[in-house]
Amino acid sequence: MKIQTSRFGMLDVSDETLLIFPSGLVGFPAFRRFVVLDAAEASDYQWFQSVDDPSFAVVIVDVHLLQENFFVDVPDEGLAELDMIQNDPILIMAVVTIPSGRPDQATANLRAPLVVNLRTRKGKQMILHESIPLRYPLLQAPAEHKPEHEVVTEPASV
Amino acid sequence: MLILTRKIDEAIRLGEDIRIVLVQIKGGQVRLGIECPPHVRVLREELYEAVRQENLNALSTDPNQVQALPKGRKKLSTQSESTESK
Repeated sequence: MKIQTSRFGMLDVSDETLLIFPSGLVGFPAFRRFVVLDAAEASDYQWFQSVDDPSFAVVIVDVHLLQENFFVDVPDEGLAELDMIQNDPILIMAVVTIPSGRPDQATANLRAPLVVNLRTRKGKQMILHESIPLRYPLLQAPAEHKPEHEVVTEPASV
Repeated sequence: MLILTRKIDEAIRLGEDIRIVLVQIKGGQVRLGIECPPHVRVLREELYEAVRQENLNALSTDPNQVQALPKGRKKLSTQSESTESK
């Protein structure tokens, strides 16, 4: 199918690469179909582009590039929405925010990752516990000195 | 907005399976008890709002700045690479 995008022009994407987010993203429930586009060759970053709105796109990064031990304890409502069964392969991506003109101060939203079931290609932006950073700096202290702290996540059901 | 008055231990119901009870009133705060099915997400509004605002911030990303982002450690694949499943 052909999709119109404001940043990348007209793109031809195959239907099987579509990701379906039945609830959309938090605050944006109307846009449910997305494609993932490489930001550049060999880049760690990708674009999460809406198929339904040409201008709706955010940069994403695999959370495991940022924290190897990151895991999501998917709440019940998420399991149902992703048609999740045991051992389904899942992908966890964080939305990246770049302050205007300051890519060195870019952050990733680990608190509300995009969780995708690769078997069903359904996804959901899950809101995790408020102890998990909403703005996790992409530039950390040098990796060899950084303790890999475990992130314990749980559904934020107050 | 519909506004209802409730006393302690009184409840309201939303549809068939959501029940909200007024548990306690203390100072300027009230404690609410919420019974709902597991597929219903319950969040304090400020948590939802923080994520909505961060999504909004991310939408204004300038493509030219993506190249300047720091490098991660490995390449992401949306095709087959599995992470942890549950």
